[in-house]
Amino acid sequence: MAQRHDRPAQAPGSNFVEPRFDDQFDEATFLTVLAETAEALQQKGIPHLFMGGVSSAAYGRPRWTRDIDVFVRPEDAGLALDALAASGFRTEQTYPDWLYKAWKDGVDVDVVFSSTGGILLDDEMLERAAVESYLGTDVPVLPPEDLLVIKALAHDEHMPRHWHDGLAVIARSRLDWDYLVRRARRHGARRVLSLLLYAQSNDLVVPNGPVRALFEEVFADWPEPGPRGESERVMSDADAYVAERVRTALAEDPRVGELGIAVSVEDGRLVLTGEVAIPERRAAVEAVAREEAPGREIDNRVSALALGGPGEPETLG
Amino acid sequence: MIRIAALGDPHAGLDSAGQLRPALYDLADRADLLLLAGDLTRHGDPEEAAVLAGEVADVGVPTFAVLGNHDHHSDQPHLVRKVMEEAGVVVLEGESTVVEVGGARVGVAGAKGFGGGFQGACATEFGEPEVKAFVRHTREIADRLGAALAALDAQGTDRRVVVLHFSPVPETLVGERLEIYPFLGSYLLAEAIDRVGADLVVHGHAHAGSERGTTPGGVPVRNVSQPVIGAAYRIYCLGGAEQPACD
Repeated sequence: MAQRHDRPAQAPGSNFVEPRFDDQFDEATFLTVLAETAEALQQKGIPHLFMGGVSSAAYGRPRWTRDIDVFVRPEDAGLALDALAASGFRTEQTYPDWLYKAWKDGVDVDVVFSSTGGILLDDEMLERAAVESYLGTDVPVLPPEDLLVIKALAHDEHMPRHWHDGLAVIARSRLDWDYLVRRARRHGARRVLSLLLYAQSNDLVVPNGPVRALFEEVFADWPEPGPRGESERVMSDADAYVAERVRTALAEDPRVGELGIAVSVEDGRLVLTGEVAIPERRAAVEAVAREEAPGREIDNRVSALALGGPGEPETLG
Repeated sequence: MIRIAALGDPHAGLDSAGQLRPALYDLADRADLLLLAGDLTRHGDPEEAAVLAGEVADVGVPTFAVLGNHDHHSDQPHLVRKVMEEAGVVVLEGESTVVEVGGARVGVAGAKGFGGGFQGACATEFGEPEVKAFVRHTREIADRLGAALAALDAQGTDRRVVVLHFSPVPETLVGERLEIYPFLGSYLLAEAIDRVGADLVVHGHAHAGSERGTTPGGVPVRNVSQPVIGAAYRIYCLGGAEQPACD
């Protein structure tokens, strides 16, 4: 069984593993280990797809890769590590929330079970995946659309190559744009949209349809005022959403916790009515409403409860 | 003559010290016991409970409380209970107790209650697990309340009062929006009460509701939520028909 090492946890979503330049191996060794990894998982019937450098080479730009990234389901991660151990790999449960590692002949194998942005291997990816040749070794590879989403999400200041890997996928692959939009909606519409727009600006072929679909996804909640008649209807819907968001915040925000404040919109103004136990809470209610509905004028009609004496006792039978 | 003071929904926060105490200073002259009908705190923070405990600790009459939904918000209802108990308040969660008042044995049964709605439109244990869990919570609480009342009956009491947070009847919700009735109470609570019988039920939770209602079995129900009664507390007197109004 693999030893679990205590290592500092990586930032969530980070897929970056420090390259080990001391590892010495040649291309033939790398390809042998790649084939052995695929075979070990195949034999145990563990669904898996290769990602990382192998998938980039298949769908984007070929680059030399020093490690093998294989994507499995979270529930199969332990089994995958066992299968590799049984095939003579040294193994380690490196990061129990997303990645285990295995080594053979100086080649690193990263067993990824929760990729950047919390993306998990699923049935649809497996159904769509093709077997591709990596320098003559045939292995099942993550679909290009999923690769693109992961590349868009993985890009950051320290790893700009992911962005360019993503552009290479757009340039080199035949993409199912509907599937890409679906995946992007689920995992990060804004980031994928920005990559598609950037690709268009670089004269890569990206149809307008998916750009528009993701734009609408990202900005669905911000209706543009249209022609007059239509704009009133759209804005009144928006008012209803704003009012309900404020009402929810008044219940859930720890500074308030008031469930009985009515929120309505009159001529664009947010009207707050109800009672709070003590006067100071009126201001807290208003502050939270202001944060939730920035730019709205607020009519704070909330009053503090005035508690009198008990009055006349009531006699019951 | 038994004089029962009751209030609900004080929603104590860390900013509430001194809010309630002045109104309670002469309560012991006016009433024999005090019922707190839940939402003792704003967020269920034990420190908020300590503020309320400080307000009621020296009220001078036996004090009984149930927890409300707010008292569960921090997932520490057991600590809210503990803080209240340390201040001498008896917290009832599907439990009952007997207190002697002027030679009479008064049984007090209490439970938070829960939602589900009322006759003709109540939720059932059907469908998604979340719905079933919701309804089951109400049923379990109603069952425990019924058992607590039955225990009082077995012990022999002169009077029985029930303290809830959620409402057992729709009448005391009038003023609230109809759409939220299922989140304000359940008829299962009334059914449990009517099975054994009681002299008075008090509850809170429905801040915009009405003070007075009756269970189908004829037990008076009073919504003592502070915004409803517009007072720090109300007093209800249990006496014979021959008894004059209490004072």
